[in-house]
Amino acid sequence: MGKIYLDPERCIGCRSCEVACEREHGHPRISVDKVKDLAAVPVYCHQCDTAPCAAVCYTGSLRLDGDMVVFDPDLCTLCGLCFVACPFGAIELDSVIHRCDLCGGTPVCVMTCPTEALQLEDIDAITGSTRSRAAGVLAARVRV
Amino acid sequence: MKEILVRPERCVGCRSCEIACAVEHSQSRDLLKALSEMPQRRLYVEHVPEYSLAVPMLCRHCEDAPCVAVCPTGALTQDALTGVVRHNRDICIGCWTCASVCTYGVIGRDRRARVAIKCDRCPDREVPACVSACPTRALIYGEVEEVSRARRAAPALKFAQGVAASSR
Amino acid sequence: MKVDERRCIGCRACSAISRSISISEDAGIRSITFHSHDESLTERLIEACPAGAISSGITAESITLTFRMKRCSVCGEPFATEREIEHVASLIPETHKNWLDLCPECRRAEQRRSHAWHCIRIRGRV
Repeated sequence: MGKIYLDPERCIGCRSCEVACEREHGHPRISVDKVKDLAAVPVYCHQCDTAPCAAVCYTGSLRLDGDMVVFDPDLCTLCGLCFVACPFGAIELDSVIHRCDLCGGTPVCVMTCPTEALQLEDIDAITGSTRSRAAGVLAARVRV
Repeated sequence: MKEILVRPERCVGCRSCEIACAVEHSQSRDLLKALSEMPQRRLYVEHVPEYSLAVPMLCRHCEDAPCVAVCPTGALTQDALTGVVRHNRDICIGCWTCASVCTYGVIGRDRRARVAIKCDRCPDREVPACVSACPTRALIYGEVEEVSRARRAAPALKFAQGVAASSR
Repeated sequence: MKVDERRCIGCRACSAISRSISISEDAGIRSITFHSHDESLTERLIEACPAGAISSGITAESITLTFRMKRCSVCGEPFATEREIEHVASLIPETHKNWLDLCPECRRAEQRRSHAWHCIRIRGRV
């Protein structure tokens, strides 16, 4: 199953992803902000393969399941350790935990993004296509 | 500092470099024994049919590397002296931010360890395994200035010959 | 129930379960007050505590535990108790970048900054 990947050049800071996410879940799980007036970047859960949030979750509420990090709200104690443990700051906590779960497979942010800055893809497919594109550029410049 | 430089016009697509890389990074360091380990390569020979060329793609250990900049945990670091970009598997959380920003797409995925995998310039060797294995010297290991200087020699000679001929 | 103040890390789990446990933050100190309360929740509290600080037993009066909070090394806002951070650090591999010293908002800002820098350089290419 794919995860959300960002093409940073494409983000225009419109925040449609944030709006769509909030409409879907009541509280956004993706956060867009500008860096001065140079670029805009969304931040969201990366479903890390060795996620620190899952490592600190002692009830198994956040746990690794295949390629994803899954959340079971019934097991959550609201201790807030995951909020501290995420290196991206992608988990927020008030009366519940707010974290991206890919909307069960069709993330609304990806559907909504007008510039396709957010894609749902397998990382090997992304690196594979970047690599072959770069190889094509290099090949074009080779003097045989 | 020595870099691994690629001469794609010499690459025949044999992938000896990929095999040598995987074997070098296996536990057994032996080709036949390594087969059972299924070690992973860290460089990729890309075929470009439009130009009938094979291009070995490997980590360039970029100056001010983007992978190092975006790594949220500091698993990727850049040596200030040598410029080598090092990946620490113990710190890596497998978030793939590095892989998604790498301009060459040469950061891979160790599916068993669930962390990233990339060229380490073979720190335990005099010459990186891929360079040693390349039968056509498509991969060379040398200082950029020396390689450039060697390259300048042939066209400089031609130029000089042309000037000499036209002044007769 | 009884709480072992040597083990308690000052997290939010128990106050989320029981209304007799209140939590507040002021001037970089988090205070958790355990009022004498309904013993029927003790089992749930014991299970919910990540540090094993809660046990059954009677505590006659209410007690308040205070925890110094870690201030973000960038913005200075307190975001977690020092013990919570130590607890998290003990469960995840050591890191170079000291991202644990940053509050989540500043961690997001750092991600944005590094991506923006990468973006500028790509755009600079012809």
